[in-house]
Formats: sequence, C-alpha cells, structure tokens
Amino acid sequence: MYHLKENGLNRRAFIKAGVVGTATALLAPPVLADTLQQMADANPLAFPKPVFRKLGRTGINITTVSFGAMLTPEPEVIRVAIDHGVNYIDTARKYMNGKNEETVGKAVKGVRDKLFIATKTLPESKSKAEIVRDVETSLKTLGTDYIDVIQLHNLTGKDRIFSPETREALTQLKKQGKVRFCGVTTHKNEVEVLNALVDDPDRFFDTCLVKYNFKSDKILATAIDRAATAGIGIIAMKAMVGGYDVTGMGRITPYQAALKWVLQNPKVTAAIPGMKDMAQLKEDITVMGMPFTYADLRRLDHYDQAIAKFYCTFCGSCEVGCPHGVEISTVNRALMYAEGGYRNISLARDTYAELPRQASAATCLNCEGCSARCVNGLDIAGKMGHARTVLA
Amino acid sequence: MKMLLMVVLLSVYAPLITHAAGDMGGFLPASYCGAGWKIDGKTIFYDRDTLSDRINGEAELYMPYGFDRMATARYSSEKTPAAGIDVEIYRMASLLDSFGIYSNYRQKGGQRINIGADSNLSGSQLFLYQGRYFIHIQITGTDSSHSEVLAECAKLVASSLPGERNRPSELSAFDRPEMVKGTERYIPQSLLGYDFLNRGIMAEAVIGGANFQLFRLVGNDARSVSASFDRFKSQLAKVEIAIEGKDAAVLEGVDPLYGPMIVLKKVDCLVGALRFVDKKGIRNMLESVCR
Repeated sequence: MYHLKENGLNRRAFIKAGVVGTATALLAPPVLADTLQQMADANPLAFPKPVFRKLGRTGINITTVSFGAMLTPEPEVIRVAIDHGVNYIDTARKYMNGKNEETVGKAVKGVRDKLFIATKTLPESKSKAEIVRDVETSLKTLGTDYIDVIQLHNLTGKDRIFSPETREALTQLKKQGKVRFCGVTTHKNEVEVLNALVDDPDRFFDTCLVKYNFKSDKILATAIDRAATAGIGIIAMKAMVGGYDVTGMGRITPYQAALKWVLQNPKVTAAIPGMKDMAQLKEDITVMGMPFTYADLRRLDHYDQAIAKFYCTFCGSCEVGCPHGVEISTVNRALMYAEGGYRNISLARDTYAELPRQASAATCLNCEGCSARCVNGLDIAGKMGHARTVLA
Repeated sequence: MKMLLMVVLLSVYAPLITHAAGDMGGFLPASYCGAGWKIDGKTIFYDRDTLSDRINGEAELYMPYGFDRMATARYSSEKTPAAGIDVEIYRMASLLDSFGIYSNYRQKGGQRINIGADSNLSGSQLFLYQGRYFIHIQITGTDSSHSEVLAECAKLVASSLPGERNRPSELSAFDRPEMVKGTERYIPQSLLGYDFLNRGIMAEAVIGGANFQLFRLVGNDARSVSASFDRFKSQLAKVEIAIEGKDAAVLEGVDPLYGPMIVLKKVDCLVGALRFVDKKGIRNMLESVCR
C-alpha cells in the first residue's frame, strides 16, 4: 500500500485548502503531465460499471463507492447514483433534524428492494426506549419497513458496545424485522472502538463506519485489518479528509486520489463520500475500479506542498505582532470568501467592511515594514496588500 | 530579556486577542437560562477546525454557510439533575447564511414563536436565527415536553444577540400569496444538485391547487446568469425558447433529473419552476418573482 510521507498533509490543511484556490500552485511541472493525462482520459458522460465488495459477515455486496447522503440537496441526485448501480445509502436521524432521511426516503421510493439503507440513532439516545423511538421514527421518515444497517452514532469508546440496554433494544428491533444488521460509527478513538468490536465474544455488531483516509496512522490501519479479518464490515468515511469544496480548483483535485487511496485497502468494503451535485457524483463514482497509482500519491503529496504557502488558519497569533491592531485573520477570511470556495465578492466585501478602518489592511499603508509574523510562514504584508486591491 | 519583552507585548495586546477569540461568550446567559436552569460548567467554543468534535460529520453542512465560530453551554435543572438544556450559538457568514442553515433544520410541524427573525419550536428543541446567528436549543434527560422552558431560554439568548430581527432581503421576492409559507430554503452551493447553479433559494408554491417548486439564484450578475441559462439550455431536452432577447429569455424543456422545467432570465435574475403538473400561470409567476 502506498503511504504519504510522515510530514504530509494534515486534516486542517486539507479542509482549508478546499476553500482556497490552489489550481495554479498545483500546476507544478511534475504534476502537470499527470493532470493532463487524467483529463485526456476523462469521458464526461460515462459512468463506470459498479464494483462490489462484501460487507463483512453481513454477506451483502455493496458498491465500493457508496452514497453519503448528508450534503445532498435533492433526492434526484441520489436517484441518479442508484440508477448507475450505487446500492448503499448512508444517512442519519440527526442530519438536518431528520430532513436528510426524508430526502433519502424520496430517492429510494420504488427501488427500495434493490439497495441497502444505513442510518444512525441519535448520538444522545442511550436508553432502550430512545433507541427504539429513533428507529421507529427513521422507518417512518424513510418510508420503509426495515433498515439494513442501524448504527450507533459517533462512539468514542468501547462502553456502549457492551451496554446491555443498547443490545436489548437492538435485539428486539431485529426480532421484529425492523433492522437487519447492527453497526457503529466512530470519528474519535477509533482504534478502541474497532478493537472492542473484535473482542466482543458475542460479536454483536456487524459493521463499523470509521474515519479513515490517507492521513490515518498505521495503528488504525492495523485495527481495521484485525476487525475486517474478524468479519466486521468496514466502511470508510471522511475519505477526503473532511473537506469537499473544489470550486476554483478546476479539474485538478486530489479527491479522486484520496478516495482511491482508501479503496486500495482490500479490508475496506466501501467509502461513502458526501455528494451534493452531479459533478461530485461523477467524480466520485468514476473511481470504482480504478487503481491507486504512483501519480495519485504524488498528486496528494504535491497538494500538501501547494497549499502550505497560502492558507490561513485564522489562529490570530500574528495579530500580536501588529502594532496597529490590524485584524489580519478577519482580512484573510474576507479574502477567502472572495477567492476561495465561496467566490462571493459581495460577502467578502461585507466582511471586510465590518472592520473598523484602523483594523483593516488600509492601516498597513502607514507602515514601512510588517512586524506581524505567521506561524505557518504566510506572507502577511503581501496578503494585506492584496486585500486592499481586491476588497477595498 | 526576551521573556520580559514577551510579557510586555502580551500585556499590551492580550485584550485584542481575547476579543478576537472569545467575543461570543457574552451571548450565553452567565448564570441561568430560565428559572431553575443553572449553568453547568463553562462555555465551550468551536471553530471551523473543531466543530466536528462537537457534532461530528454534520459539521460539513455548516461550512458552505460560512460558519466560523460556535459557543455552547449546558444549563442543568435544579429540580431534576439529569435534565439539561444545551444551547448552541453558531455564527455564520451573513444573515442569509444563518437563515440558510436554519431552513435546513426547521420542521414542518414546528411552532413559530415570536423570538428572533424566525423560530421553530417542538417538544424537545428549538431553532431560531437572528442576524448572523443560528441558535439550537435542546432539552435532554426528560421525557415530558418543555416548550415553555425552551422559549424562556431562547428569549434570554436572543436578547443578547446583535443583529436585527429582519429576514434576509433575498427572500422578499418570494413574499407572494402563491408561496407556501415556511418552505423557503437557501442553498449556498449546487442548487438542484447542479454545480453550475451555485447559490439560490428554493420554495414551494401553489397555483390552481397544484404544488410546484420555484428557485431563484442569488448574488449573480448578468454575465453569470447568462452562463447558467446557457447551461440549462444545453442540458434540457425538447427545448422550446419562448422569448429570447439580450436581457430577457424564457425556455421550457425537460430536465434529465426533474422533468418539465421552465426557466426565465432577466438581466441579473434567473428563476425557474419544476415539479409542476400544469404550466398554466407559472410564467407569470416567474416574471413576478424576478421583478
């Protein structure tokens, strides 16, 4: 399996990068050839044949790129994915206060028997009554009489896996035919959760939806390997490291590479990227069947290097060094609105205009040199000058 | 010497940092959020990088709406120790964005109470927005309905928030008798699931007893409206162009996802109708929404 170097892209960088245009920086010569090759190969109208893997001991075969529905505005987008073979849809009772389940319910109407639906109980639901209530509500909202995989939402440790009350509720729901399989989801302390699933002598839970991406450490990969070997179906979330905003980046995005990186691990059954429009749908499901190549590895690595120079974390630490109290992080945020994923110049100017004049980049004109320093090496004086041009 | 310099610098500039980092703390009631509901612990803040620690993957929903900071506190019941109210205040990029995230959570059966620009109350939770702020208040640890408790707490929170109680001006185009109240949604990206449409408002309307949906792009200039219109034209089947001029055009056709669709552009305005059964009266309606 390919791995990024240790000092590669971190999660924060990747998310922020999503809203900071990076196309120019990515066009460094070593990547250009790969990118041109990728674009030349692309057929904008073709969807690939679906590729399936078995979801652990559940025995069901699901598409390696399945559908994370949380961000999808309209059911029709999900329906297109279903029409092209995607057969596993993930939602949650919590998303949009249940409205996301409504969207999924509309999308699966008439084709329910051809696919698998996974949803989640509310994170705060711990008692038997609460779990049963959540499932009953989900069934009603989704417009179905069974849920394929019901998941305990957002576990951060092993305790709930062994909770007798939780198991009693889920066992009752299984006996009633309202749920087929039980799983958990985890974003934090994933290794403990995965190991607990394996160490459970009853093997009560069948699946684990786990945050896993090219920034994950080897300990997690080992835990995934152990769990999958024990028959736990592994589904990866946050495969794109949590961000998905490619506006302004053209077609040169690292997301396909990130998705391929996750799926190169045969212990992972599927990934569920959130897809909110047809462009993302096409980009993501095209990955099915594609190998992870050395070019992908370089793409991810170059992306890391490209963004490091010009994204602001808005930490505000540079502001200590400015003797005139310029609110540098707010100015940078306004620039992000203008030039990042938002591309919203009116929002950018409104944000900038909220600053008192003495806290804006105009104050920098009174200085001969900039004493503010960025811990990430940003050229603050340059950015303030740019802000005066773009936002004033 | 360096240490001394650092101490001097920090003492001079610390107030600026505190203001930049913690300016939402004062929006949460310091001691009680309603009679008998006492603050339990400290106010916790989340930013774009840490919001997922609080609400996990759902944090991604907030980012396109320009989320930049959240303050939250828990207030415990003095009578029933297990019961608590969690108050979350999210600062979004603008009034339109706070409305947008609110419109995602608003429930059809929810009750509107006179707090904030709009509010939606159920037995266990309350959503509202005011200015750039979206507020979610939830009661846990009790089975009974506590609407009054939620409303009382919400009033206290809203009273400390900056921002007028007005709705976004972008919604005024939808202030028409044919519109179904409370159905407007603001989508900050990929309206209708099309990346070329970007930001817009959707709402339900009724003409002649039949429901359909309307959308209108927001924040566009004439050039981008024309580009979106042309993209529509290229993807619709059975296109009929009813009017086509430099500033105004109407096209009717069949969209691959939504079926019959009517789209009107007028200078910097682009509106459309979909999911309708009968197109009678719809063009006039689109004209009026574009006015």
